[in-house]
Amino acid sequence: MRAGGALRTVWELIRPILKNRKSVCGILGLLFFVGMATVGPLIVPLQIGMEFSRRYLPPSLEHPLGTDYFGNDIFQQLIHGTPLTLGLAAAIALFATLIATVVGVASGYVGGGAGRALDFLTNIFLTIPSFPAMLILFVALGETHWLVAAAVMALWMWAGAAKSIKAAVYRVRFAPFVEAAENLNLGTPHILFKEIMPHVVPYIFINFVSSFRAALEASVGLMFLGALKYNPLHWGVILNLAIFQTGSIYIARAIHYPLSIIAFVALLLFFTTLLSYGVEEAFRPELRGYE
Amino acid sequence: MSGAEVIVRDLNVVYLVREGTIKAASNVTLRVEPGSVTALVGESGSGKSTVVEAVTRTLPSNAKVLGGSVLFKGADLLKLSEEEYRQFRWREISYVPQAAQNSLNPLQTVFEHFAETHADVAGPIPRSELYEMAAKLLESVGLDAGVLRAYPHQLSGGMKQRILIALSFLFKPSLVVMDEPVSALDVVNQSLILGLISDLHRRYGTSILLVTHDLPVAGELADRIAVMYAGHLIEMGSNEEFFEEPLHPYSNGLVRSMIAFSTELSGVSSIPGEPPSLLNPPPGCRFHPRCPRAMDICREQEPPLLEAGGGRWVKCWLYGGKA
Amino acid sequence: MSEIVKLENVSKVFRRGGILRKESVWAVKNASLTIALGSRIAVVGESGSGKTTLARIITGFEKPSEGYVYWFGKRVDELPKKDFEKLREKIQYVHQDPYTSLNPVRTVYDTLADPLRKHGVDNVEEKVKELLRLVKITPPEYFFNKFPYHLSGGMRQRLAVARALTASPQLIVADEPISMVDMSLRVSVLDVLLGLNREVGLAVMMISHDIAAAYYFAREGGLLYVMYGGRIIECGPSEKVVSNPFHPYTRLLLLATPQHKRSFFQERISMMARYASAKSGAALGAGGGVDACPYVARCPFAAPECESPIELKEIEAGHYVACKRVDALPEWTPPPWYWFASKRDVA
Repeated sequence: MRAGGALRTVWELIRPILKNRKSVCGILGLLFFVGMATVGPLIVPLQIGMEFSRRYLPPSLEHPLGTDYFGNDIFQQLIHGTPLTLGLAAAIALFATLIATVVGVASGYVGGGAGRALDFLTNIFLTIPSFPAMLILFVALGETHWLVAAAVMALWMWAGAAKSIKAAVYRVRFAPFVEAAENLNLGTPHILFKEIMPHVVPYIFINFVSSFRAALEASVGLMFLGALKYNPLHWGVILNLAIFQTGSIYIARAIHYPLSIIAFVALLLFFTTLLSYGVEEAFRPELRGYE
Repeated sequence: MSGAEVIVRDLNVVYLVREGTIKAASNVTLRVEPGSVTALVGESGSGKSTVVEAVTRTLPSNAKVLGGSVLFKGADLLKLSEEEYRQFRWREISYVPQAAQNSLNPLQTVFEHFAETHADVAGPIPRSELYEMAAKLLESVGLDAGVLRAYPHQLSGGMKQRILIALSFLFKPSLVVMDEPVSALDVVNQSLILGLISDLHRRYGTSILLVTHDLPVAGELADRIAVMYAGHLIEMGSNEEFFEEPLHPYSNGLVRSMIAFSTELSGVSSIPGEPPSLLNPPPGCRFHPRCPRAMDICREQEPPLLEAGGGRWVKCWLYGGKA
Repeated sequence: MSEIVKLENVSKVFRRGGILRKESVWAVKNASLTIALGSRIAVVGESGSGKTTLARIITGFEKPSEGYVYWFGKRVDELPKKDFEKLREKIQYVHQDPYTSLNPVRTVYDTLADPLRKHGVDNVEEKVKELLRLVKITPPEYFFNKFPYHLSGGMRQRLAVARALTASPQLIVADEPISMVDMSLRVSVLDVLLGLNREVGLAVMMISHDIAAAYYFAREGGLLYVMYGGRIIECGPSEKVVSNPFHPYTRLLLLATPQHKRSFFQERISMMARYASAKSGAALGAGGGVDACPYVARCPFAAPECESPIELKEIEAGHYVACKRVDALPEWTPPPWYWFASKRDVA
């Protein structure tokens, strides 16, 4: 009964997501990118060299997105850059959501002085503009391991999510069924994890997906600006090469180079946003317009 | 002014939701006799609010009228255009909706409510004339004219309800529809408002369709009682006859579940089971799963509305009818 | 120890307002009562009468501002945390709204199994079945995997009662157990509570705004308490209070309760009118000092002596009333629509 119950609870949580058109669209799109990240590098070879004779070739069957300044296939580079790009953004989102969950649940459940202190902390991080702060920090820190970079970035992304999670906890904290659980002395661990958390998990999930989107934008942006440790595989770096190093946006016939990178980033952001809207709609029926 | 007759015939309304269609009102036929107080009684999910919203053309956007007619003063209200229906609204039919206290505009004074309503229906009139009219109406509902200057938040629930009732009589309509006019009030105010409704009915002779889930309230005020269950109109008849001998097994169960000082409390009982989902209602008679006298035909075919003599109607195979 | 709960002159004040002006609302004032083992009590009052606050003080969800609460003879405010938790289990509060008192993401089985497991019960599944049968949710197995939204209001309320029973309490305080339940299902909820009292021997206290339902619950051996403006203004065996009420508010309440016979309607309204003043429809809490009778603003029989403090006095065996003007009231005859229209005790 218990194992079946846990699985069933998870299924009940996931089912609304699968029923929502936007989130299904988003999931399918993201699956494509995940496929790119996992299977892609295995199927698609990476041939980096310098063949200026093949510079800026337009998209064709041989080169689906054309070639870059050095004559290298753009599609191959993007595919091989997917794991790092997605992985970095996912790591940032994971760290951010973890911090947000801990702080949000604590301040929502505990209340009192400690709760207010956590609120204050959240507000500080919320009001400091994250992108400039990250920029300054990374320029000051110089080269760091990518996981450290992810943690630093997560530090500026958890505050909004923490507020949303705290609100979700607060909403049920004083619900009659929680009082009934207290009346029966079910204990804080049970009340927190079995009574309250199921109402909060949807918001954790929603916030993870929007954090992922924000992390993607931020990491591509930082890589693009050269603030993070140089890695030629990351899409942000490829974009940097395309725009700053090779000046391809000024060359008419080379426009496919920056455009294809931007298109990939935009597509990924699009599907992620679609998923985040869909998940939010699924768990908050009041947002659905057509019902 | 006197009351007009309303005949609802074979009304079919559904709500479209994600999971399917909710058959909120199916084949509902009922009659409000001219100048009578007819109580439409039903519990949650019975469809009584749906019927009333269909009659007053206030159905929500996801509701669809699949069929039926509402005959009033020679017209079928369901078939009128919005423009044509506007001629009836407030003038011939007025509507006091459920939790009506919340439908007062918090930014307008009571007087402005009267002014706006009048202007919407019959154009503006000189303030002094309107003031006199409003003061008289307020007096008839037991309120002082000073209330005209107040904002809704300054008034109690009972007072707001009286204002809405006063507004509903602004043009002396021939039909007033009230949906749960007293259920949000405390007992004392309830009785005061019920007394008021009874007075106004005697004074103006208008037809009143009173929707309520509270059977004792229906018993005290109504000339005729119509009962709905799970989207069906299952019984209609005169007040005293209904309580004396309810025909439909559901009506019988309902009457026997009343807890009031006027009933012998050692004999009260609940109806076993629970009301059905209207997404997938039971086939045949929708009450059959809970009915102590269900027969085979009840499980298969929906009974027609049968005449049971003396102006009584019942939708039940126990009273005849052919399959 | 035959007393489960004892309240000694309990008051509860809520202070509202901003920095400059603080408003004090006395939700409960000078309430004293005793709940004995196996007893049955109904508390009646309108919204704002303090009945819910009283219930929450009895069950430990609110702390009194004045006075003392005793659980099984011990002062609640002196109990160490562990003892408080142990004793609290034996006094269970059942919330009014069955739509929010059950966790929508837990199944019927889990709702009962969680507390049973916590209390170290051996055969949890059997015990769950037993409890479901006790509250007439049958067949039990059919409902194991159902969620609250599958159940009707009456069933949810009965499930909430079953959950309260998992701790083997001595007292259940049911706050408005039927106000959110359809009429045809109310008796089933009340009968479950009555069964727990009569057959299992639990003490049950029911809070209601409906005096007819309160009477149904408390008749034949139960007590009826009437509250107004935070105070207990009348109490006694329910038959006595209902057939021979002394407080003008109690009389107003009884006359204001709808009965179903049209022929008596006008008479009921005119009888009610004798106990209603022009201010009877007004909101609660208007006028009167903190110590005055809370009903003074609405009472048609109010006199200068009503501004001084009131207290409950025994007016006939076991029947108490807090009113200085009882002698000025008109003669009371049981209304003709009472099915037991007689002045004698019906017991």
